Amino acid sequence: MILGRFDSRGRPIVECRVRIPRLQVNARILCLLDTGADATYIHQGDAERIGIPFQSLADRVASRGVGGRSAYFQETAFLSFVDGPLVRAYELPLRIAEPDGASTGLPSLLGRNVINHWYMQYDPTNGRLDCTVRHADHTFPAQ
Amino acid sequence: MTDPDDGLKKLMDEEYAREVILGDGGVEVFLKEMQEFHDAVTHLWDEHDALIEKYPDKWVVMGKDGVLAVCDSRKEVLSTVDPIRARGDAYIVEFLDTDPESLVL
Repeated sequence: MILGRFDSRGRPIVECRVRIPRLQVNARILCLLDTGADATYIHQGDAERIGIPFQSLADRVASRGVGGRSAYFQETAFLSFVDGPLVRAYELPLRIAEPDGASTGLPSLLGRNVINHWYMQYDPTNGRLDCTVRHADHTFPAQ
Repeated sequence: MTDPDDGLKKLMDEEYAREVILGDGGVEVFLKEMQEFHDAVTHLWDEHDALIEKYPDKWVVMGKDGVLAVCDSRKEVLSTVDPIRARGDAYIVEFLDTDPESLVL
């Protein structure tokens, strides 16, 4: 089981490793579980802190939210999670916010292109956010 | 009919994924590094209220064993985390917001 947690504001969070081969990015971040997000997003604050080379981003795409349309860059990435003794990973198009300042204070979002592969028990009253993996693109057991 | 090359391609894809996801260290190192990150997050969340009281509206950089730095600006945060990231150490950054806004995403 992937064990998420609720942060001090009660937001559902999971720990995740992001690897973007083309950009040589390898980082650990927190993601907000967002069943309303069609894709997975890295917002500006995290992008800066994990060393995304913005000048190397090229595949510009748009996403629409409550605040209107926002610009992102799409990159093929591997997102990995700890599932007990296993590493579970997904290969997906990750959306990285354009560094225009608009998304600076926003958390990165784990969207339905990952969480639709999980069965989730969302129990903030008991501080439990348990995610059972139904499918992963790659699974690596401990040796 | 199954193309025999499909099996080889799948094997190569899996090998590539393993190399990219796990790097040289394999699963054990991956799990250890994620545990260190988990410890940093736990420190941050456990000490959150005390940190806000002590460092209101500043940025904190937390490592697996405790606070690594307290910064006044995003720019200072970035120059602080650059060498930490280069070493491969676990860290988490948070703005100690005394007046947090509600989010609608």
